[in-house]
Amino acid sequence: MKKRILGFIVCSFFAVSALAGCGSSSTASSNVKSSASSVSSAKASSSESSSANSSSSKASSSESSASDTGDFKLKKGNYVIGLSNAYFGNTWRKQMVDCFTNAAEKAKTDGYIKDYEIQNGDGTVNSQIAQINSFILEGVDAIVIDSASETALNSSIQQALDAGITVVSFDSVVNLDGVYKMDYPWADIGKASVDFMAKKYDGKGKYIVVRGVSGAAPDQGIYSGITEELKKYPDMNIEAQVIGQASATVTQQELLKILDSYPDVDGVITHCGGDAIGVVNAFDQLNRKMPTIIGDNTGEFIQWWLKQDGYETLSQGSTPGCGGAAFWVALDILNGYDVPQSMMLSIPRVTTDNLQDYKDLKAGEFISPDFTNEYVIKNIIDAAKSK
Amino acid sequence: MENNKCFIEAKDILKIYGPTIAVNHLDITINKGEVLALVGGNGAGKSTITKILSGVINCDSGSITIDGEAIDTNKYSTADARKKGIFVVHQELSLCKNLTVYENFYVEQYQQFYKSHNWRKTAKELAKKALDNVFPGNTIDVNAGLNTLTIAQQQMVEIARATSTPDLKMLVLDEPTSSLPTEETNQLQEYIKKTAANGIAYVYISHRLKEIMYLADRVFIMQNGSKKHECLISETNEQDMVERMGSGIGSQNKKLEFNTPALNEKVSIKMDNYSSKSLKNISAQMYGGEIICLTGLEGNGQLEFIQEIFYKARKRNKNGLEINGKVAYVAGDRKKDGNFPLWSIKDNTIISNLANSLLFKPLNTKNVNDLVNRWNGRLKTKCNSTDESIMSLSGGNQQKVLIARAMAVDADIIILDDPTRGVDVETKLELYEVFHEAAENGKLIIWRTSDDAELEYCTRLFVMTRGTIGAEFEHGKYEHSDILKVAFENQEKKDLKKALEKKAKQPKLYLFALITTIILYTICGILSPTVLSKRGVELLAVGYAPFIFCALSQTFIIGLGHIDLSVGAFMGLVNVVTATILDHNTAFGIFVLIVLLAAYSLMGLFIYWRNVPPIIVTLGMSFVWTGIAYNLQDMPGGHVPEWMVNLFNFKNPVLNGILIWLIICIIASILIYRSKYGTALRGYGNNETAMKNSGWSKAKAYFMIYFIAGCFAMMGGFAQSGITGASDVNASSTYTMLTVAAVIIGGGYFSGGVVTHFGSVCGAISLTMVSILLGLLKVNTDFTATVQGLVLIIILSIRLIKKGEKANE
Amino acid sequence: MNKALSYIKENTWIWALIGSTILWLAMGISSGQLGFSSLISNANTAAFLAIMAFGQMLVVTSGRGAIDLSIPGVLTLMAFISMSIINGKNSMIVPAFIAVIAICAAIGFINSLMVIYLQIPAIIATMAMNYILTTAALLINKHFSIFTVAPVLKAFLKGKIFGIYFSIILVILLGVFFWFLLRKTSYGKSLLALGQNKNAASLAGVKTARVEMVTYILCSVLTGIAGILVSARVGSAVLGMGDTYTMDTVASIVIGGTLISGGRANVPGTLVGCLFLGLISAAMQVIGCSVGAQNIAKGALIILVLMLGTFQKKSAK
Repeated sequence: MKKRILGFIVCSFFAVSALAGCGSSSTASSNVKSSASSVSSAKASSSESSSANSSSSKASSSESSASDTGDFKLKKGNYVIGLSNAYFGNTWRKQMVDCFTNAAEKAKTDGYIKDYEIQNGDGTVNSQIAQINSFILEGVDAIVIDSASETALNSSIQQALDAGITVVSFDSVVNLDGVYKMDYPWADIGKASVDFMAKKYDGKGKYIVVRGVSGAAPDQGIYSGITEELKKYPDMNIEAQVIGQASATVTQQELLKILDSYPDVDGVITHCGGDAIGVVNAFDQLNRKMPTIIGDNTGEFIQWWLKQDGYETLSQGSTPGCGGAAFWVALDILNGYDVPQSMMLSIPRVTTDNLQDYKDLKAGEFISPDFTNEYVIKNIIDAAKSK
Repeated sequence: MENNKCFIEAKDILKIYGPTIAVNHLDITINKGEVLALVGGNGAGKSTITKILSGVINCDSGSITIDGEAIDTNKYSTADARKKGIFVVHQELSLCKNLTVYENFYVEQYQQFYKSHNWRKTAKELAKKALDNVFPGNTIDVNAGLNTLTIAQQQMVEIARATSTPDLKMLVLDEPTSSLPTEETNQLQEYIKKTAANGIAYVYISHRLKEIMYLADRVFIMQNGSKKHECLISETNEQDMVERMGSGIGSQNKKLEFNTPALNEKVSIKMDNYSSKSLKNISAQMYGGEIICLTGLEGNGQLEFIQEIFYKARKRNKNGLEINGKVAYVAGDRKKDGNFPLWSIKDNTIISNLANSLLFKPLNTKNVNDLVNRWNGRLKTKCNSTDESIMSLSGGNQQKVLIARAMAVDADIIILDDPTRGVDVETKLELYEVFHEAAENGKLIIWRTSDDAELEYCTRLFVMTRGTIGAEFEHGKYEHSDILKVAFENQEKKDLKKALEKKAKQPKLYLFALITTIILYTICGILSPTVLSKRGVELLAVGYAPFIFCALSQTFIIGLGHIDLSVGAFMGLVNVVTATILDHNTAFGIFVLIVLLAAYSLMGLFIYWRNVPPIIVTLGMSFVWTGIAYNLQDMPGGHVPEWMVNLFNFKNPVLNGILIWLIICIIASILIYRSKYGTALRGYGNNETAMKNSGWSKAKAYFMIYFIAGCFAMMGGFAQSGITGASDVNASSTYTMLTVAAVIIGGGYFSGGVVTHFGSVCGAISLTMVSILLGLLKVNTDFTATVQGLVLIIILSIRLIKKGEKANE
Repeated sequence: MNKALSYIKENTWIWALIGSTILWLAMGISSGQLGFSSLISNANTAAFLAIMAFGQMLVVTSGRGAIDLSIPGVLTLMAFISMSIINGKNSMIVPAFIAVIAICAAIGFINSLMVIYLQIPAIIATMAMNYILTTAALLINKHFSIFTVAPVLKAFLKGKIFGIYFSIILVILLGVFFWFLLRKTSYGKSLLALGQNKNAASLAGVKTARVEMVTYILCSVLTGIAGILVSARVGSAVLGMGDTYTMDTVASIVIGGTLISGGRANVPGTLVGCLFLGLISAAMQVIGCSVGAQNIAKGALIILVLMLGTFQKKSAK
């Protein structure tokens, strides 16, 4: 009898603690601090019309025009849009999800969609397959996906397409006919990093490369850009390579393991995805001379950079706001707008020239324009069409 | 005796255990067609001599001739004995509780089944026939799981199994009727008489003198390892036997100065009509200064008596039991209840003191050394230093340490649980003096003994029969035969009305998992009918297929009593191999896969060979599998050959490819476990010793289990390859612990060989349906893990409650 | 000489120590940088593992195959909680510690309730708890993601004395504490007794329930403290930061000579085991071995140590 009571008490404790978190009926916690996404929107950097070929688009301020989208207007609708996010374990992803949420909330309030749902995975293909299956079973109208793999999900995504669901992949895109792609020019990032270092150190020097999330397209793209460009500079030595998983924590840990064996490091070429401050911390912890670190557009790195005296480097990175952008693209497709299969986003770049523009960037934020629907249509969709 | 009638002739058998002479130059003859009753008090040597004759242990010297052939007494094993037709039904049952009745028959007599096609039918008939032969009219269902039978029924199964052995020449029955009701006892006796007339030799060990009078042809009375008396049954009767057993006991004892002790009323135990599960209406008063002995035939409640006093002493007194004074317990079964084998003498001595002090109080080394040295000195523990390991001491000295432990804690009441078993005479005498001195110091000693000679040293003794105090005697005011009379009487009375009642029907193991799965599916189906459609089922199946394959694999391993931490990593490795090597070179790829499978099986062999904890071996191997995979492919990607994708994930109007493979594998795993060898493997999960004795190879069993598990894990890897067309080492690392959860939810236990594949599948499906359900309920899917954890806890709690209810029946 | 040999036989972690030295030398030679700093860096990283390994050591020592699988969940959740409480302010450090210790004590207590009274095998009970804690961390992560480390903590973790990090010294002190606890207190002896033979321990008067409870509480509290320190060190709390630690804590204590079946704990061995594990991956990385080779080495070494352990047991018979 005693055991029975005890069992029920323990079970109810767990049940209550679980239910305590199950707040609202909508899947995303709507009271997310908006600080993450209220980035310096007015100072949104790049013009989205740049295509994959422009390698050194300097950051410049531009206005986000509110009008100029022609006669296309969103209609009120009963759509349900789902976000399938492969991995949630770093700040970039978190900001991306927040941007999606904000866009979706706005659309929901305005009546353009009935509801939205967010599912986050653990980085594995299997969990994302489960997410897609779940969306198919729920009968969503569109899936916006940041994928764990370029091809491994194809059979599941095909099922979604067969069920009539619109699929828009972004950031880590999917290579499948019928799926819309919003990609970044990853190789350009790698190229730009190498070129910057080559210029600064005269084509020579000792470097450490930090990789990103294994298997994801960004990492593969950036790394191939790096290796291609390195062929031009045979005197640049890559001493070591660590896998930072686009996380400052992991990057710091991995570097701490090996740095003592490399007393001379001129530069660190990062994955530009949230790992840069980890590099800073690692060198700082060991009281080492700070090498030239390619920044990643995070608030932490920018703030640290602002405090340095005469530190010259290049910072670049993808924009988590693409979560919101992808949402609007999906909604536009559902509303019948003519959207091309392949679109390109661009990379904001920061050098000492425009560093001061970002002095209000807070820790935990990435440089990212505020992707309203108007902005998206003008700078992403139409821009891709006009190419 | 006539020629040719003699089956076993044993001469001058000697067996010494340390200081104890268990069998003392004994001559014994066993004849064909004769029932020999082996009688004697506790510790007379009956079990030992039968173990020697049946090859369980080897004697130190002497000669044994079986059926005219002299045997090598140094190499004689149970396998040899069985070949000669000698079988034993021990008191500790050697059945596999997780198998059914007829499966237990099969496992023991498998040689008969080589040619049979429908072995289950044959086994069932065999079992039924055997049971009906010995116990006509029995109601035992041969299809019942052994753990659903009562002890009495289990005993019947064990007896029937032994008696039905083909080529049986001699059967030793050790207390066969102790749990049998009257009718069944009679039936057994009839059977023995009948078969003895056909030439089978029986050795019948029992305390039931009435039965012996009815059944036996000859009586062999043993005492202290020697033959006390031997005669035909016609030459004796119950009274005579009792007297012969009782005489001469204690003649070796040194006479101790015996003063009637002064009673120390401050220390006492008062029992007023105390009853519990095993004890009935006990009323007694015991005071400090007394030495109270508990005697009587083993199994009549003595152990319960002392253990209940010890455990209840720490709780608030109730139920008519009042204890005044601190209680300490000295274990007699040193291995099971007493020794801390990794520790020194000092640590073993001082532990009770430490246990009693405040949890984090540092111990005072000087005090510790003082106490340890004082008591071990007083007890004259023979050792070079108290820092030696306790396992380096002889049994007697180990016992001294255990007694020192109780003395050091300065308890008022000391419980001795048969402490002189296996202890040499000289030490025994030393111990008796210690007990006396303690009593004189005002302590109450309660002493359960199995050696009737020791009763001399007590002030009072209780003879326990069937859970109650049969009689009470005071020092010097009894004869041994009085004790034995009380001990033996009422043995025949059976209060076993319930013994044969059918236990309540056990729910199937996988019931909870199945219910959970159905509930989850139903709710999901209501929220979204697509779930229940064919497309929905296929969709979900693709999602959880690899997980289910791994769960099947883990089921086999947990069925053996191990845990496999490498199943996820292995699956990932197979996945990688198919997307790399197999893609480039099919033949080499297949070769590599075969090598990997062999390596997996060798894991099992390694565990057997080095006897190392499987959890650590599999943990280490999981790193190895992962490492190999990384070497083959450091980034996710690769390309699975088209033929493999087509093979495993083909689209089919009836059923998706994956689903078909899933069903095939589930059925295969169930069939494997139900096959002949599979049944033996299940038996291994429950009772390795019995299986080994029946002749099944342990090495082979371990190898085969890991081989089978490896196959299913490999299928998981293939499924993963088929579904994704690429590979990722890390994809499957989370599976490992989830498969353990799936097996447990499915009704499995970590030991005892109690697992079901169907349950594991249900468990796996339940766990994956949780996230689907949450999605459909519009609850944040981040809660998936929590709900999975809750499901685990709730199901296990319910299982515990059910178990508790059962135990209270 | 004989005494030394028998000591080595008794303490297989000596092999791990020798192995560590070899790895450190190899690392130095391969990179041309033979010096203490690489050893100290790795010892520092290993120190955080060691804090948790001590906790795991206690749980495993309680016997009957008990393992605490809730370590990653506790670590991650406490990292988040401490980060959110401290939020960069020195004044909040002490409250954060108090909060973490209190919550972890509750977690450990519930773990022990499940194991003792619900009779759920420790592996399953702590696994379930881990799932729940992981979700809790996920929820906190949603609401809170700004991470600033309090300056005092930062200074502590960066600080060195005589060239050795404070954290290493902290862990060595912890080691001394546990060595003392296990050898010279009632709790420690009771735990060792419980792990060797629960039945005998009960009969000897050991308060087994109480000892088990304290054990699980200690393990969770240690992990919580590690959570505060690890997150302060890397400057953030991240989901999944604890995942590798479970198997690493088990591996390190096994290498160190703690019996997985319970009843024997080896404190210096645990320290060496953590260092060894850390050095394997670091040294192999420097030497240029692939991630794959590192994993294989890790696994092979664990099994090798097991084998050595049983060799000496067999010869002792």
